[in-house]
Amino acid sequence: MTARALSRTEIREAAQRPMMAPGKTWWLIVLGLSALVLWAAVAYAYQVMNGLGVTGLGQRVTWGFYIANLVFFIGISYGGAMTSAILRLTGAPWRAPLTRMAEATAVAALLVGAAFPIIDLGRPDRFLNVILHGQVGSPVVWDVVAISTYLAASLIFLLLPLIPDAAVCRDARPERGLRSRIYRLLSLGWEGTPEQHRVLRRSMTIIAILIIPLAVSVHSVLAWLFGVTVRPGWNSTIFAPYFVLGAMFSGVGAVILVLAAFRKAYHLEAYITTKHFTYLAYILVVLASGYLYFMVSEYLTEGYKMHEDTGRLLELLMLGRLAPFFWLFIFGGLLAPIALIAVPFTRTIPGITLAALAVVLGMWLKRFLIVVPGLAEPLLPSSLIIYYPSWVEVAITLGAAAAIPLMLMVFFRFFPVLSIYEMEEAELEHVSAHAAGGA
Amino acid sequence: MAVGNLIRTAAVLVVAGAMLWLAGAPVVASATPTVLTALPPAEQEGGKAVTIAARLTDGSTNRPLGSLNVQFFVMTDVFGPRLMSVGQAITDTTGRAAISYKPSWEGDTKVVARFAGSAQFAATETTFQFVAVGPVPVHQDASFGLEPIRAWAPAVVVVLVLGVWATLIAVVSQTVLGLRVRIPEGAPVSVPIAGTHLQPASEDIGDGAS
Repeated sequence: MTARALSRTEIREAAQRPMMAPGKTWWLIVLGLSALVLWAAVAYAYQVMNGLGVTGLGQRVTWGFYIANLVFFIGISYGGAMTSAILRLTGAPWRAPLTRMAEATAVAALLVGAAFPIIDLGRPDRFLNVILHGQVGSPVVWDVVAISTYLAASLIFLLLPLIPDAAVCRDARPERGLRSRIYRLLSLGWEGTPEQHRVLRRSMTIIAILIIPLAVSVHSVLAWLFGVTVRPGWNSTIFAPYFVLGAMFSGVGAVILVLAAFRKAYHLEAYITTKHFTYLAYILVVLASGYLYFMVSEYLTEGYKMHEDTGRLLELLMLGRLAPFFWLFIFGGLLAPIALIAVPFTRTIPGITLAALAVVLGMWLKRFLIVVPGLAEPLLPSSLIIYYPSWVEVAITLGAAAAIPLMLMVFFRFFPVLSIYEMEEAELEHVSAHAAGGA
Repeated sequence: MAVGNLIRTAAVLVVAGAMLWLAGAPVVASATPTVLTALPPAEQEGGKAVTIAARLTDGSTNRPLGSLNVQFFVMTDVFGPRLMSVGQAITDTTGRAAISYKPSWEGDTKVVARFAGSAQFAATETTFQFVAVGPVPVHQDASFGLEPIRAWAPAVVVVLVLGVWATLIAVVSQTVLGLRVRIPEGAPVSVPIAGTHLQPASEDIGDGAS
């Protein structure tokens, strides 16, 4: 909330600002992002026609960019959903301007991330085998069940608080176009009666509670996909909490980036203030410290035992060919963001946004360093396999990264970027508190 | 003068190179020939360890050679035919080197025993095979008496997943049904304030100045 109380008109105008006729910059960014997505689609079509041979994947390194992307994008999604759910359940009064963007980011990132197992299959039709011939004991089946359940919950989590906002949009458009029909459908007859408030609050609370274990389960299942495999670097019992924490870390970073971008683009400075960034930055530091702790714990126990395979892997990561990437993550993606937030001079919106960008890029690199070296290291007497991604994998990765801001920009062309419902409620509480204080 | 120096330098380099080559060259050419004799196991029942052994002797005197390292390999067909190292052992006073090996597939197992050579003895190797009979599990049964848990765990997970989906469906349906506006009989047909979900007296929540 802001220092002065905001009027309903101000809140509604700000929330619907991206829904006004878009400017030239909007079109240029959308065109640029669409071009990247199109390039990715062409690359994927080329891969489907020619097989996985057009990628850098091989008989040994069977998981490369695609599975690193799967873990990364689902992690981003997880962070968005968890941020919103935890803030809702703890009743954090400053959450109101953040929740819509966090929830939309969660759904967009999940849609992108969920596509990667199918892309990695090479032949998408084989995905049907998981459904037709899946076995309960297969972690891949667990993954499909967890991701689809989480996707359904995330969509509901996004749509529930959108009901009153859709009613606002519906009432602002008395004409009977397709857009009005969609608003009418999504608003579910919302008129703001006390009974409707009660029903909506109860549903939102249930989903906010449910989405936390669901998100934890999705990332745990992803971690077990690695953890149940007898591979150096993967064969770990702490992988599930390690992955969950890493997902929250990158997810909060992504939420900060989305907030900064929309705040700047639509002049939402009065609604998304330095305080919001600072609070999220504190969460980021706590998560960074936790992630650092897990990482040290993992490498210390493995390095102390120094099993032959793991020793080779650690050498490859810390001193070998992958050392520049590993240390870039440690210093650039973990320690530098902590320092940027810890030092008051850089604890500004640009500084926090820079820290968040470093975290997001660093966490992608970390996922790559988890996925690929574990496969490159041979189990049978053989030499180390070096994996280089092909242009197809690079194009699909960039297209996927572009798809998330593109989806968000298009989504917020049609729906309020701030949750009007929650903003107005928060402002009402703010005014009531002031009135009570004055009395 | 300069040409002479150049020639002298080249000659020195050639001689030095030749000396270095000779120093680093293997001495196996003058080493004593050796023979490795296979000591294959009898037909082996699947899943049980077998001793694979070979005896190393002097090729000319047939004297057993002790304290020398013999490596054992098994021919596999994982990612194409290749030799997989399965262990190494030092020969005893009778020249015998042996390791314990558990076959991981049914049928013929081809073994290569190899002495890599030393300063004194020439390298040699021998090949033999044995037959593993009966089913050979690649992975041991990992149940360790946890069978009841293994049997029930999938059912518990399925119930949990179904419970989550049932909750999601219940939330959606109760929201859709619960949000239907019930207009009491006799009330005006038009709704009071369309889309308004807060009921403050004035249009603005605050005065914008507090």
